[in-house]
Amino acid sequence: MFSLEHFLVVGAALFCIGVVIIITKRNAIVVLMGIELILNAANINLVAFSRYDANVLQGQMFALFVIVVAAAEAAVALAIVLRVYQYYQTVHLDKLDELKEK
Amino acid sequence: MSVTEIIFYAFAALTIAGALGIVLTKNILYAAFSLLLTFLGVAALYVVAGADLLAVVQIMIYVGGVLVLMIFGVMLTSKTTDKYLPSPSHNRIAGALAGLALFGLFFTAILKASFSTLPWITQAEQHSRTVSESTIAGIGINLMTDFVLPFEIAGILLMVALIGAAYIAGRK
Amino acid sequence: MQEDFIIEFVTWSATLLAAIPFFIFCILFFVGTKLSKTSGWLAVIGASISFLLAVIVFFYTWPDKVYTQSIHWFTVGEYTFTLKLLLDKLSAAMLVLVSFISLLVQIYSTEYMKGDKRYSRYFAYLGLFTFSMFCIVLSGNLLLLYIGWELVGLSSYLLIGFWREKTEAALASRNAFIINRIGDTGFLLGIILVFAQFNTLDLATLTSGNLPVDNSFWLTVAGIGLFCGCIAKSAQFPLQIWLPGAMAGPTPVSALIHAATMVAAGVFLLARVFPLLNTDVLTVIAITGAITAFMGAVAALFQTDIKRLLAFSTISQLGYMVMGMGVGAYGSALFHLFTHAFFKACLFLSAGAVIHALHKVEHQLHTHFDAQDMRLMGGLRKTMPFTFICYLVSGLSLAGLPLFSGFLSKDAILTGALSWAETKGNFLWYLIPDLGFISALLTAIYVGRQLILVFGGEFRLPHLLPQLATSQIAVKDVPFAMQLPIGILAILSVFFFFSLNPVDAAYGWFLTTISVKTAQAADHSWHTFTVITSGLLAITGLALAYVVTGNTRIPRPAFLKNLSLHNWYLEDIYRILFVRTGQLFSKVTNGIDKKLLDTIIDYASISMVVLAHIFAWIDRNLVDGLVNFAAYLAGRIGALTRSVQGGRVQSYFLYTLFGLLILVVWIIL
Repeated sequence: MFSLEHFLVVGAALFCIGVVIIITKRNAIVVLMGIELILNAANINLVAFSRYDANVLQGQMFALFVIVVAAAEAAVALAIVLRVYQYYQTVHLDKLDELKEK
Repeated sequence: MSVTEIIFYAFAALTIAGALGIVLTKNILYAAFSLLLTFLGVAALYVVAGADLLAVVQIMIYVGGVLVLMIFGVMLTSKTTDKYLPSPSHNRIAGALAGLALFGLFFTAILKASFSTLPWITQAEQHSRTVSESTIAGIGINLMTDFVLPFEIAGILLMVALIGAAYIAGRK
Repeated sequence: MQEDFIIEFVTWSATLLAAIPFFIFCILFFVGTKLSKTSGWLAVIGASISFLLAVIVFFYTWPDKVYTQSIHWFTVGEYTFTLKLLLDKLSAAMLVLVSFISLLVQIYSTEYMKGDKRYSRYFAYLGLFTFSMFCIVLSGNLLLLYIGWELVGLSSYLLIGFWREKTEAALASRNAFIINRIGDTGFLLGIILVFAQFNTLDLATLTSGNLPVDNSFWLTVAGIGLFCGCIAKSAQFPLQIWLPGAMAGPTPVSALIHAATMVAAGVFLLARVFPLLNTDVLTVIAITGAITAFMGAVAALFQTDIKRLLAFSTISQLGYMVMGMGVGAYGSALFHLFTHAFFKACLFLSAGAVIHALHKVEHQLHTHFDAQDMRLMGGLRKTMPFTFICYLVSGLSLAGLPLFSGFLSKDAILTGALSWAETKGNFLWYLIPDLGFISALLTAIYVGRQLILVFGGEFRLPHLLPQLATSQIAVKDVPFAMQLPIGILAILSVFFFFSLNPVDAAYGWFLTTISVKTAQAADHSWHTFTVITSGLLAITGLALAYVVTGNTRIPRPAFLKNLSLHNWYLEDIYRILFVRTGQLFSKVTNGIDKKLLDTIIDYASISMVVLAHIFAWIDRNLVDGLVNFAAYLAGRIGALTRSVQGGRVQSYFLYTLFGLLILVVWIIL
């Protein structure tokens, strides 16, 4: 059986890719995808640790609630993106700079 | 290499590849499908880790819900009528550097910390208390006993999010 | 088995009877407006059930049973606090008193408050008050008692300011609340000190008599702190100024809260913590009580407002009770609390009846006059005979005429005070009972004056309002719902409800049970003297009132009159002492600001201007070049840094991430 670290490394990689997406992608929806990746990375860690906790399964419970929150977050975030699109006619984050001095 | 190991590596590779696909592709719809691969890979990793219920939940919520929502979002916010929906990016070099540095940091941290030798984990392994069968019953019992309050709160949260999302998106 | 059942039954009944008014409050507060008329009857029914339960509890408790019931509340460190119910003869008697008067007042109010636009809200507040009063009476620990104490303060505030449209009422309620707050602060300090001394707030433990109560400094301070609560709530000197103002509330409220129950809570508190008070504190209490009794009586002498007079009388009578506590006549003071509750509630309700009747007249004539001014009344014995009789009985009881309950209790207190002064040795201590006797005389005078002004002689209003003389409208006696409570209370002001012996209550059922062994037993050598003296004083006072009232030829000392009308100028003194001083202080600091600081700043600025001119020259010729260069540099740097703040959220995130990475690497390496 392979060790816990394998999972952790996969989680870390997923997390870092998520961060890169958030930093580099200009489309708000793709950024949201990055956020989902980060949440998934955290879940992998939780589940991996939960393997050694067969009685209580706290990690899996936590992961379950993370998924719930992620679903809610995705719904609200997409609603906001739709509003932004209605108002600015774009979802490119670097175009949303009304506060910047022109 | 045992079968499980092969499966693990295969799906880990699928997950990472999917994620990298989102970074590298220039088409948003490809990004969405790469995300699908990643979600499936993660679900498979859950199965390998013994979390069968979570794998099912992952597929149902992420693939069935969140991803569909994303694709709808893409379609509703694009002006072009072409097949090609660009996914432009910036800060490329700095972003890549930051990601690599972060990963390096995590990697060294994981290696140095040696989580596998934590006392409670080694104990669990010695007494073979690791997850070895379906956790659905356990999670079900947990949800109805110790976690019943968070469970209810999660329900309320979802309802609030639903109403909020409908309100925000639908307001004229 | 049987015994267990009784204990359960009694404690549950007590809890239930306290909970009922709270439920009534909740119902009326939240859905009262929908109930309108029914809300009054709902409140009356609730109060009746409470009263019945109180009677049951009383019969199971009296004379010598003690029931306790406690629930764990919270633990701080090693100290555990409980929600404790303590039911002994004192609280049982108080329960009956409070629930009974509350019931009567609510019956009375259904008529008195008829047509008020916040009818249900009024009964809701009464319910809240009754609940909090039960809370004080039943609580078995000082913390819980304090909570009840604050709650009655709140409900008193709400009820005084019930007609909040009237500026006078709003101000009076605020005044009462703030003054009570002063006392409550002392009370809280007292509680804290008691806790510091004995590590417990449990009343049963504190008053078991096993604690070392000596004249140590901290114990004295703690006792005086507890007494502070009593000073404010029971309107004792020097904080009595709020009670006359509290008359701005509805009259039934004055009867219930500001005559019978809440103001007596201070005396009840003293009775509860009596074993904790050392002799120094008791002396302070006795002196305060005597002074209050005297000041209240003097202030009542020349009042023209029917309710204000009764308010000052209440202050004076509360002074008696507190004095009784102070001289160790524990039982007598409580006895006076009870008798006073009945006859003073009756007086207030009768006064309310008079006001109500006059308001009706005012309403029918579409005119306006002060329905509480006694100078406009007179001759009402013919038009309101029932009210007159009740007023007469309870008034004579207040005046301390023999055969009435007030005589019995006042007499017991004075006897106690005399024998206390005797044990003190020095003849100066006799001043305390002497003040009591003088107040008794004054009491008789003002009661007589009020009776004559309101009910005697001719009706004076028609002389002022010609349309009343010509019209057919006449003052009518009040309806049955108001007569019933007045009548019951008047009957209870007669002696034989408390003692079969009309001149000595010491062997009556109440005093024999309520007195404590540790308290100084009344010395009967003084008793005959007191009976004769106070009886004579009462008769003299009434006679004097009869002669003086309405007889303008007898001169009244203007000084005394002003002193009385302005309540010893206490409010003015406080205004000067505290309010004026505060204003003066702010004025002085303002002056300092304006004169001193401003001048300094002025001169500083002038010198600055001069300097500036010098520098301007240097600037223009020398520095500008440098500055221009600096500005250019700053502009360049700004442009550089602005590119970082480029309005791109993701870049911020990137910088943050780099910062975090550097930080983590630094910490690790």
